[in-house]
Formats: sequence, C-alpha cells, structure tokens
Amino acid sequence: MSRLWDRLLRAAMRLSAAAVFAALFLLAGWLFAAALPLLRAQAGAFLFSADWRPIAGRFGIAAMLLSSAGCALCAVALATPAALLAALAVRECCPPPAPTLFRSLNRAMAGLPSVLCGLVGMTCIVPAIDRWFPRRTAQSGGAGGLAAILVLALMLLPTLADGFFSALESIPDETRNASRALGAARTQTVFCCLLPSLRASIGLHAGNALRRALGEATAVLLVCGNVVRMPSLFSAQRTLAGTVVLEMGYAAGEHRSALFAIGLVLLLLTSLLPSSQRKR
Amino acid sequence: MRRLAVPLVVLCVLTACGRERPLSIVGSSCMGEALRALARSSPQEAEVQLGGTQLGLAALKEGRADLAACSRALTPADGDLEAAVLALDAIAVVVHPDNPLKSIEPEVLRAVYEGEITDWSTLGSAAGAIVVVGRESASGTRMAFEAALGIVSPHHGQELGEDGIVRTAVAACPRAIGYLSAAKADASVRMLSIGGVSVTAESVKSGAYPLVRPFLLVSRPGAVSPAARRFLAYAAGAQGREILSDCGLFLPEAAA
Repeated sequence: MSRLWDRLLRAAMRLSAAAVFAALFLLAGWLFAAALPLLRAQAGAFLFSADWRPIAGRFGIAAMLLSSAGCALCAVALATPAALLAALAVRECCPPPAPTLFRSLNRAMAGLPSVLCGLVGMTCIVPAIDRWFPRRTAQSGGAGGLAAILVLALMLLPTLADGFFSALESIPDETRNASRALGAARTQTVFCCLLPSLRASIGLHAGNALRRALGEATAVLLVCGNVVRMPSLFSAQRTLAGTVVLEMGYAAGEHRSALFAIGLVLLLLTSLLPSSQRKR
Repeated sequence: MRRLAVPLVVLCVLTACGRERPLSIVGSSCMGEALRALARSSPQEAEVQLGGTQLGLAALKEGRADLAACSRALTPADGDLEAAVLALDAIAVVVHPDNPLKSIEPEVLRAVYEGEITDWSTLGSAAGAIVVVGRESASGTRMAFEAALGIVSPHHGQELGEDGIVRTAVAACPRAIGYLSAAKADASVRMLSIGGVSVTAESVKSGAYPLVRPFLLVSRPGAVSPAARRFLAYAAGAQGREILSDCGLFLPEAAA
C-alpha cells in the first residue's frame, strides 16, 4: 500500500514539474512568436533607436530600456542597504515585541496593491520633489526618474527587509554566542560576524528585487510622466513595462507585435540576472 | 457520475444553442462607463468590450462586433458606415483650484500645448513654469483635443494613461494644466472656459464650446441586427437618455 502511494506521489510530482516547464516554455515561445513580425522587420532599430512613435511606425525602445534599467537599479541600490540595516537593527538590537511586529508589518506591506503605492507617489512624493527642486522640475512638475525610484524603493523595502530578517533568523544562536564569547561587542558581532554571513542572501534578495522593479508598471506609470525621452532624474520618461500597460489596450498589427517584443526583452533581462548565489 | 455527465453536456450545448447570442459592442474605453450602465438596465442583453475606437471599428468591419463604440466623428477614411449619436462629450481643460486663471483662448491653449508659451505669467496668472499634462499618443481624448485645436507637435511635461489619472495629477500640482472628459472632472480641479465659453448643456449642444466630440454607436449599413436595433432604441429612449445624462454626458436634441 505504502509503495503504491509512493509511486503515485512520485508520478504526481513529475507530472507537475513537467507541467510547470511546459507552461514556461509555451509562454516564452508564444511571446517570441508574437514578437517575431516586428523583430524580423526592424530588430536593429527596435533595440538601438530611441524613437518610439507607434502612429508613425517607429518602434525604438532604447530610451525606455535605459529608463527601466536605471530606475530599477537605483531603486534596488537605495532599498537594499536600508532594508538590510533595518532588519539587522530590529532582529539583533531590539527587545522582544519589536521583531514580531516588524515581521508582520513587513508581510502586510508586501501585500499592498502597487496602484496604492503609485497613488501615494502621485499625491505625496511627486509634489514634494517639485517643492524640493523647483528649478529642475519646471516642465514635469516633479514626475520623473527620481519619483519612480523613490516609489519603487518604497515598494521593494518590505519584501527585502522580510527576506533579510528570515536570513538572520536562520543563523544559529551559536554563531552569535561564539562571537560574544570572543569578546566582540554587539555592533562588532552584527557588522563583522552576521553581515558577512548574509552575503549570499543579499545577492539573492537584491536580484529578486531588481526583477520585480523591472516588471513593475502600474505604480511607475503614475509617477514617471511617461513621455518617451532619454532618462533623467527630473524630467518625464517612460519604462518598458509601463509602455506595455499603457498601449496594449488599443495596439494592433505591428504595434502589438512591438509590445510583445518588449515583453520578450523584459523576459530576457530578468532571466539573465543571476538567480541565486552559490552557497559556500 | 458518468451516467450524469452525458446528459449534462447535452443540456449545456442545448441551452447555449437555444439562447440568443448577446449583442456585442466593441470600442472606445471612454464610452465604457456609459455603455456598461446602459447594458445593465437594457432589456436587450449586451456585452461591452473595450479597447479603443480603432479596435472597435476594425472588429465591426470583420464582423466580430454588432456595434462599434466610437468616441470621435467618423472620417471618410473609416469607409461606409452608419452612425447613431449616443451622446455628446465635452473635453474640459482643467487647472489646479488655486490657479487664478478663469478662461483661455483656443489659440493660446494651442501655443501652451505646442510649447510656445511656457510660463503662467504670460497668461496673466502667477509666475511659474507650466506643467503640460496630456494623454498617451493613441488616446481618443487626445486625438479629439488635438484635432479641435490644430495641435501638430505637442510638447508634454507628462503623458498619462487615463482621464482619472490626469485629474489626480492636476489636482496635485498647482502649476499643471490638463484635459479630460468633462464627465470625469470634479471639484479637485477647476475647469477653464474656452474663449469665455464654459461647459454647459447649452454651449455643448449649440457648438459654442469648441471642444466637443460625439460618442457614436456605429454599425455596418444595411446589416443592423434586430438586437442592435433594440439596444439603439433603448439608448435613445427616455430611460436611456436619463442613464446617459447621469453619466455626465450631454444629449443631442431628441429628434437627432
């Protein structure tokens, strides 16, 4: 009986693994097929031109690609150290109710719909940027790269902090005790003993955050101004994912194919990013 | 279980055949709210699918839709089609409530959107750069707005995806100017009058307000199904007109 059960379970696991793979490859293949008409017509211009005017048949994503990459990288660079320090401080230096509270707060925040973050950005962050840098934001009224970076960082923070917190939990207490026993102070323990052992998980979580930031559209659409232009901190620009959301509703023919090609580019970007670091 | 399955399938197929296919309306997302409100209360069952005027007209020509929802006037390039005016929609030009400007000339508005005028002080308002907010390039609202004012190469500070988002953006920025369907404007922004004419039922109907576009239900001539005819009749009737004006739209004279 138990052997039969075993076999059944094994078959079910293989089947579901195969189904997941099939779904992924079908999706990628379908995306490629949908993008092919445009790529065949103008693959070079698609990647290297910054001229995106669907009505005129111009489909160049260079400006949006740079904007996507720039916003995502800056947001991750901003959110990762903040989340890391917050997790270290709360897990290692705060008395009991704080860590539990921190954890549940992060989990709740991580489930926040992204359109809400976008609205917060639109009604608080964008006007604030406009007030702080009145000369730089003359044209855009505060919308642009900086606003997108801040909103993205805000969205990435809870997931990152939760990830680092879990990684700290998984470090056994023996490590901390050994460090203290050697005479290290609490800050020394945190920065010289715990932080280095988090290296692998920093790479992992930052990679995941980067992927999420590249794919985020709704929130970014609300704060970055969406004029197709070379990226800068204070003027409007448009990201790849934002373009797909903005234009998919009415795109037809080659335009539609171009949007699928953008999807393909995003898929390639996210799959080329290192997915996890080797454990040492 | 198997004994039940066959009759169940047969039953499903039979009911699917027996019921009349609901009327399919495809087209402009600006008209979505009004169409859905009509479809909810109309005795004629209707399915509303949104995705833009262009998509609707294409679906109509290919026979995938019974009616196309079109949020601009038909042009000769659209081919031989029959259109019924469902309602009139005014495009409101809006600014932040703190902006002292009350009225703007059409020519000045064009110059603002083409980047020739860049500061509020030129318009007699408090000094400050103008943040020009527009819609994304294939929006029906944007096409109608630019066609009415003769804007060729707009110079936007921001391009946003929906009328509601334009409203939020303008409400958040004291230096902004934007445009959106008058039905979507509320107290968080202030409508400007164009050349001294504000948005009222009279000015929209008479054409004195320059930024008006029709909401059309388009069909292939000679191929209007009875279901489509019932829906059009309902929309033009007393109940339909009441629903449309509740949506903030303006109605042409009953005879039209």
